[in-house]
Amino acid sequence: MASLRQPIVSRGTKKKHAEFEAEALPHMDVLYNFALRTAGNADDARDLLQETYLKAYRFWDKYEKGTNIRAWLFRIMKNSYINRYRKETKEPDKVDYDDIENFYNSIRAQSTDPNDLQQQLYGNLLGDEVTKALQSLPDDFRTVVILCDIEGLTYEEIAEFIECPIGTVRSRLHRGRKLLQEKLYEYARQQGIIKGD
Amino acid sequence: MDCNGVRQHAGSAIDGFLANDVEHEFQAHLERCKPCREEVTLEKLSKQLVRRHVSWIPTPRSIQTLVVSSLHQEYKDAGWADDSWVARVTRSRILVPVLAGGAVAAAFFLMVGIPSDQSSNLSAHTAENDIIHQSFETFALLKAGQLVPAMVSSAPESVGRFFQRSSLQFGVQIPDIRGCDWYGGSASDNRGVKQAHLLYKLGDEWVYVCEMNGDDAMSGVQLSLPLAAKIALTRSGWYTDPTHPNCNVVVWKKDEVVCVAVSTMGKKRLLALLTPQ
Repeated sequence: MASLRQPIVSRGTKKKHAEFEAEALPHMDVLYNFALRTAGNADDARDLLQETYLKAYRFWDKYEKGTNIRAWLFRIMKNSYINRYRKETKEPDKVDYDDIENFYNSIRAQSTDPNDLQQQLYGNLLGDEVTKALQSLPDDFRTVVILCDIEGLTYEEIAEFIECPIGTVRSRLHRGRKLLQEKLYEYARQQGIIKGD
Repeated sequence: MDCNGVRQHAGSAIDGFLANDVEHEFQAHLERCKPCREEVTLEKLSKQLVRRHVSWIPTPRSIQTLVVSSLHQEYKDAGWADDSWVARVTRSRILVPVLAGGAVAAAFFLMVGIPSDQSSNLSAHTAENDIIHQSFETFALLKAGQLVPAMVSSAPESVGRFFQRSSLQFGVQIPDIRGCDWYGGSASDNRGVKQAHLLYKLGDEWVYVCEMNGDDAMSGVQLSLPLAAKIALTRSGWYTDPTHPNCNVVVWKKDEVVCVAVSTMGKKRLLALLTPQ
């Protein structure tokens, strides 16, 4: 039979819809920014955001009222991202930390003054380059850097978002920032913004 | 605080989460340790670069609209798919008294089936085994709330799905009656004679359709039709009582299924509904 009329939605469904809109929609900007930084472009961010909200809506009954809804939405988005792009998430411990330490050693060997470096990088790097460097971080590092440095969340909030101890948040943030510095430094060196071998 | 302590607390110091006493120790170490100072400066630089260059972007209006629209579509779909009897009853003022009045009868309806001829092996046409007569009786009970359909939905598709799941051994005809407030359905099995019962509610009007296998209706022993009806169905596939123009019953036979429709509305309108162009 053809569709004959508009549906009559039950009171329970109406209530659910109203509750969901009131609680989940205010976090759209946070999610969109995370999607944008994670997916790397506006189209994918849009799809990821839409998918996240639809999944959250369908599984609204699973959300434990009174808990951190932003963290819940964020986890849905993170899982959606992993599933969507079927990325092999690189475990933080598998990143070669020695490479990062070498970066510091090389700076020291070149007697590069971090204050000069700061001025050179701060003044000459473009947004796209920083975004690109951020994008190239392994997922777990990028996530904590985005949540802390862009979204301004506390370590406790980030720990809840990624369901890890605060110590892990600190560690990933520290390493993530170092990886980012290395990438930016390398980029600046290639562009001649700073001198180096 | 030593160099390891500084590494451990560097992030918290940069992010402003360090307790005052620890902060003091942290800064004291940096003043006397150049490598640590440089390392912290670089880490701070990383945060500054991200904050400066990676701007926070509000969700574009087009994307907001897309998300809200897709949620609304889900909401509407949930309405179509909502097969919960409780949900339907709570939203329907019409069905509340129906349920209240018919709870006991519903159990009877589902377990025993639509009232039909209780005697077996009847071959003669009587008022008791007359399908039209039975349909009028069932219709009256449904309207009074003494019988309740096993399923009710605002989605016409749900009726089809309901009968697909039932164990009826004939293809139920589902009249395409547009504009209904809700649709009801039940299946009954009375000593091997299976029947489908469809109920349509259009504003103040009701349409009830009883369906069964053509053999059961035309030559069965438990059910029967008036001879005139059998002849008309054989010839044209349709029957209405010509001697009673206001008798709002329509009988038709299609694909070896006999259907009897009874309604609160006049025969003309009922015929128009059952035979959409």
